[in-house]
Amino acid sequence: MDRRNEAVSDGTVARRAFLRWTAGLVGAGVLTTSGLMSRVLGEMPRSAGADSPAPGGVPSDAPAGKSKLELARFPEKTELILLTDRPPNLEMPAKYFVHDLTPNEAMFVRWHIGIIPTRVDLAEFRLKVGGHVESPLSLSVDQLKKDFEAVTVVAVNQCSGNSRSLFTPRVAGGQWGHGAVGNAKWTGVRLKDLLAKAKVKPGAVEVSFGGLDSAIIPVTAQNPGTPDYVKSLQIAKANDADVIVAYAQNDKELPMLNGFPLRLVVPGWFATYWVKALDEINVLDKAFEGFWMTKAYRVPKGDPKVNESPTDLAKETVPITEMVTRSLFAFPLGGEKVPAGQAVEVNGLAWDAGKGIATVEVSADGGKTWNQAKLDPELGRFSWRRWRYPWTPAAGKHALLCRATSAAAETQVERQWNRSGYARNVIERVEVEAG
Amino acid sequence: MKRAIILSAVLGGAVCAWVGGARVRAAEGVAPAQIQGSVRRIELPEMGNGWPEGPGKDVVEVQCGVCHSGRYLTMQPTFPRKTWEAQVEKMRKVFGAPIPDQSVPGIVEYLMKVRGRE
Repeated sequence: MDRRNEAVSDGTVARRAFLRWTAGLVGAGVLTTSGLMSRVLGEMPRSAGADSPAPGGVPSDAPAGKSKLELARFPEKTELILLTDRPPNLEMPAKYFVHDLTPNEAMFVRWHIGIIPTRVDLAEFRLKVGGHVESPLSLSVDQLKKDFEAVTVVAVNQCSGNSRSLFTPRVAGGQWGHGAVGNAKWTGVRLKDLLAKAKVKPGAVEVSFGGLDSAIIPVTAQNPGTPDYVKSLQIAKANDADVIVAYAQNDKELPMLNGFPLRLVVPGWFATYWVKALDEINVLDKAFEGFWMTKAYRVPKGDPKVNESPTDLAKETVPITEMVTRSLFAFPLGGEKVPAGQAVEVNGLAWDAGKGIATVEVSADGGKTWNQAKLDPELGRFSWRRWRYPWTPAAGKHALLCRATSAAAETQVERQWNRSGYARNVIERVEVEAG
Repeated sequence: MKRAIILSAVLGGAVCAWVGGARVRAAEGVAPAQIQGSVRRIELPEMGNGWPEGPGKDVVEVQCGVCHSGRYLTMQPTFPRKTWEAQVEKMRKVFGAPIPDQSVPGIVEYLMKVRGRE
């Protein structure tokens, strides 16, 4: 159940981009002295809400149901839950879990560093494949579409930190509810086909991926700066036929905020690898040592359930990779009212890293007894799968639970915690009232 | 422009889905990207800098607000002082925020005031 509760308050005001302005500052070398920053920031236009006591309106530590979430509209996006505006982090409201394929305008948005692409000229844009290869490539999106076989995969795109706000004790980071996840049909070209065309040299061990986003505080000799968002895959994974460079999301161009024009899609793996606005693929003859692999997005080593104790943190960590088996409710949602004495169809979604969902069980009595839900046909092994369960509730309060088990016998846990709030796979519970 | 918005609303109507008895209209009021020839462009909304009132706000607006808005703070639950101290250090050491030593205590006080718990 979500700790937070949705309430509408649209603070969106159209205007020009602060990011471009800040980028200009960096270019002009102004950002290195705080005095100048202060002066220029003081000239920033303010809008209503800038001076209110809690502008985000998101006291996430409030008791369940007491907090208010702010909604906002960004370009090409429907009304989404506003976590942060700059850089944008937007969550899909739970009502969209009724869709088997998440509409593009509802897909969550997650950017890490300050300057994100807001303008792309396809006449200039090139995807570069280089590094430890015989024949480096520089490809336009048109060339990519013309010269390589198109492949399509339906796959769940889920942020590593999805549902982080439900961890107890709470952890710092993007305070997502359940909506940092969506499922879409991705079309593009196989990464392995690009690598084959570029002729990877013997001795390649990893491949790194960078996008058009960049840091406001660049790395210089004087300042460590903000590490560019670059991820890597080991060479065997990069040559996995499932990994694609996608140019279409549900048969349409990707929304700019979801990575137009190209996005790496690593089915079954968390979205941290799904590099947006992908423009640089680099084959490496040694392990990649960038911050976003060696310091961030890491989980306790050796625990498939991604668990550790707050009082005894794991000594060793490894990069997060595959998603863990989990399930969610689409109907009813927590706090929703259902009619008493009438049959309703409880339904929801379940997914894993690609082995497939074997069973989903539902408990309508707080976990005392469990019954199997009926599964809809599979849309693909990397897609989520809808489950349905008929239920006729008596009047009163009920706790509904769901738990999925994968074809690899992975199931969900009763309790879970890790320092970064990653890979939540706790048995889902919603409280509903029939009356 | 207006025509594009109407068109997208119509298309959105076609994406309506009936699942589990609930109907969700997907694309209503979605602002399209601006396309001119080979150029695709969006304009991000301005939403204020988002830093709540508090002692030291002016310093935080400068030192922290360079890279992100105040919502990065206001979306967080409350944390003890040592967590906020660690966060400030992380911003300096890991993300390269050029925060001078003398600014650190004031920033931590502000974070404690807005999202702190002793």
